[in-house]
Amino acid sequence: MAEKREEFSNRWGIILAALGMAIGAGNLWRFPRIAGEHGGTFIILWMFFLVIWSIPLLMAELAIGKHYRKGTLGSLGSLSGKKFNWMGTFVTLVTVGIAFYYSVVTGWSLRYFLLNTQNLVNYLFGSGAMNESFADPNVNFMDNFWASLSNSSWEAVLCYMVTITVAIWVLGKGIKKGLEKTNKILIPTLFILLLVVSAFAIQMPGGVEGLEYLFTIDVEKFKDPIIWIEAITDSAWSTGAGWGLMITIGSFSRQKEDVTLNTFLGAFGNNTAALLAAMAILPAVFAMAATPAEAIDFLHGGNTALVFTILPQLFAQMPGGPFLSWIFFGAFAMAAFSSILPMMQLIIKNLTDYEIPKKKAAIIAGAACFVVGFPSAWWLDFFENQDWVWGVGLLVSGIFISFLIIKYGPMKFKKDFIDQNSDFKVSKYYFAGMIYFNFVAGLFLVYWWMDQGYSEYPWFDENGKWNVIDKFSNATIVTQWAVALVIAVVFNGWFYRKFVKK
Amino acid sequence: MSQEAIIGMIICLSITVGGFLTFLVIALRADKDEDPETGETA
Repeated sequence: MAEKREEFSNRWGIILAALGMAIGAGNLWRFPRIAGEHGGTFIILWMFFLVIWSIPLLMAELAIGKHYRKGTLGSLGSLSGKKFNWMGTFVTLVTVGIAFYYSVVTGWSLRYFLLNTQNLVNYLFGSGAMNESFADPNVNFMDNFWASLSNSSWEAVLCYMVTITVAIWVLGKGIKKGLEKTNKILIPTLFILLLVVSAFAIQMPGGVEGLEYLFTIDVEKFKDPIIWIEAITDSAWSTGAGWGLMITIGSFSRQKEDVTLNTFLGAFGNNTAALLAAMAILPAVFAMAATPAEAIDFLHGGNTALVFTILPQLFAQMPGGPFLSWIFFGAFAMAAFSSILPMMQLIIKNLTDYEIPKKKAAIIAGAACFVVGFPSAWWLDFFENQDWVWGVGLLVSGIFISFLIIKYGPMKFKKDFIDQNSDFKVSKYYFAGMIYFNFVAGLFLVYWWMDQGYSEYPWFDENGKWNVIDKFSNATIVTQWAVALVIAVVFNGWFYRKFVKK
Repeated sequence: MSQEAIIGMIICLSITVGGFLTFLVIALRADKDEDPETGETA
């Protein structure tokens, strides 16, 4: 017997799910780095591309899910028809690829939260020696801790196993009792925690310096194309536009829900959270660094280095730092966990469309994340490779979704899919124009990121062999995308029959 | 904080947080006007 169709209780269930999906590790470890480097100029462009790139795609995805009430495979397949069904399969495979390695991030975040809890207890009721070793640059405690956790660590494996098990438990309860109820606790708490860290960090001597870097708008910088590309890319990665996650959320939406307003609210909420995170991290970094130049160096250290080695060391040097660090890593763990939930829900929804019972589907999704995510937990290089391959792959997903809307006719799509039950409406010319723009801009962005030369040998190694082993090479990107595309094309008919026609 | 940074902060926060709060108010108003039986706005 088919299970009863599930729905969110109201618009807030959808908005909290959209916020949980979008507010993830990227808001806390990528955005503050880039924003601190480029300042207010970047923020203006990042908001501009929220409206240009992210909102039209998110709106379209939410509307597709709401219209077809199926997971990504069924919904995108219904929109595309059999000929282009493989595009929806590719979009699904990319996001599933991300879910596999992202589950490891949730494990790391849990481990750091536990470490900071231990540190806080030691600071309040013990000798405080642990915090001293965190702060001492000669001890290199945080560098060593991160190096051991990110490579061949059973501790990391155990931690992400725990987070996946909790996710299975939450999602196995269903949409209202599981996802919606959890988000009602996670998201408001996350906002409050970020506000607390921001308020503390700004109060610190030198903390205002961070805000100076964050908000100063240098008009000359608008001429720098790099900032434009960073802004559009961060908006794409941060909001989850083109991932298919909003299709999944939309598939549980009530028919009377207002797609446009809910999308705008979720998207602006995501950017508000990212800005709050930057207002927490940058003042802390600038207050504790010896010079502004050293603070900028910290920001250049990379996502994981900033959050997992530099910040704990800086927090440890502050008065009351262990408490602040504990709150920050609590927020980080919540952000990471709230993002893995919709990723796993995407897998579960497709499995339940295939008529696998919900609880069984949750266990299969969790087991898949555990098994396929294992190499990312075991080798940091593998994790970085997956992050790179599927991160750029998301831009391709955005191109495919834009293409399918163009094929349907953007203005007709808006009338048939988005405007149903929407009191808050945007211009059809805005929507259509942005979808065409996204298609072209997406192609350019894929080319641009692959042309960045992060690998010394982007295609062939020094021996002339296909350089698939190099974690940042174009060869590894193309090879892994090709595998996903081959699966999508070879099984096109099967996916269409099982997920669309059924 | 310099004057430029303060102006930048006002602009950035107005667009981001201001936008979020505006849509939040619109959504709350729409919910208030909604007929719980039919889901239609008044």
